[in-house]
Amino acid sequence: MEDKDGHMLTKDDLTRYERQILYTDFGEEGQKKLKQSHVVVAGLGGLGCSASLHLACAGIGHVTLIDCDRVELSNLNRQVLHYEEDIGERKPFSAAQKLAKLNSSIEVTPVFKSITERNAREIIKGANLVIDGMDNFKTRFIVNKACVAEGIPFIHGGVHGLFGEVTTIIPGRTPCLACIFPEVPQRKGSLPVFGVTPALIAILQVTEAIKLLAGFGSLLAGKMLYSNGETMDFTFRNLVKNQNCKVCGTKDV
Amino acid sequence: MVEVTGHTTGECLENMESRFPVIKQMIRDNRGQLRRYCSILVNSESTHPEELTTPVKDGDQIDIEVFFGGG
Repeated sequence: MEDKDGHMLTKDDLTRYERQILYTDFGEEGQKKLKQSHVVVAGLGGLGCSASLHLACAGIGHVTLIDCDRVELSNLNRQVLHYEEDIGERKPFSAAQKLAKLNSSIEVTPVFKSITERNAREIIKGANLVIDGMDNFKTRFIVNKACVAEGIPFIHGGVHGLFGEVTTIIPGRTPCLACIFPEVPQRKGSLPVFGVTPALIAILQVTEAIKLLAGFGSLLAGKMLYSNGETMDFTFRNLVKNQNCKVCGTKDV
Repeated sequence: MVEVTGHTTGECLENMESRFPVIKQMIRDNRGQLRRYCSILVNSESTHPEELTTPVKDGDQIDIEVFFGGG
């Protein structure tokens, strides 16, 4: 069962992941790829909690959790890895504790810090992909730029009320966030959100992650999926690459 | 993709919103202002900051990008 890099599936792995290994296009090879993968979850709010939960369930070998906030009571309608007893705790550590209990066979690295222009590339360097769990436009654009610079796929998700969106950004192949929004959108105050919306979008982000890492299926590459929970409309939108994009339109990023 | 008429991006959007009310709900706030997380492109070029006043001509393509920023 051991591969050339020394990674192998243990007897427990084969049992734990049995039902997904049964999936024809995935199998033991797909599971090994997940086990060898390192995924960075940027933000441990509604999106990041649900995403990291399912990354751990799926058997991603190494998950880095990064956030600079502490758990508050008002988070608990949507941030499913934080409990009442965690109020005041650092979000990455609160989430990591739950994931360690859920799947002790994976490595989880909590990082309690802000993502900035200065540290973004260092934080994501070497990762196989980055999951967007952020709650603001500014940091998303910083991470988008860092992912393009490092050539790391970035699975974007965003929510508002019962609306959500998801797309997979592959540097050099698809439009990036800055192609779509040349200027960082401005926003004031808290956004409305039901917990089910980030849960739904995060599940789609992890679905993309599993396919991308294991190398099967088709991706939301160059396509935005919009969900409208109010009407239950799910629509797709083809994204257009901006040749003059300040982030990916030139090589000097 | 749908065909609409109008001399500006704003007129074209109003035309489309009258036909597809769900679009209006997504891109306008309660005062009828374009939501801050919406971007309007004409022929793949950003119209910022003249999202609703950019002139258009026959054959132009208007794209609405909506950015849901919460997490």
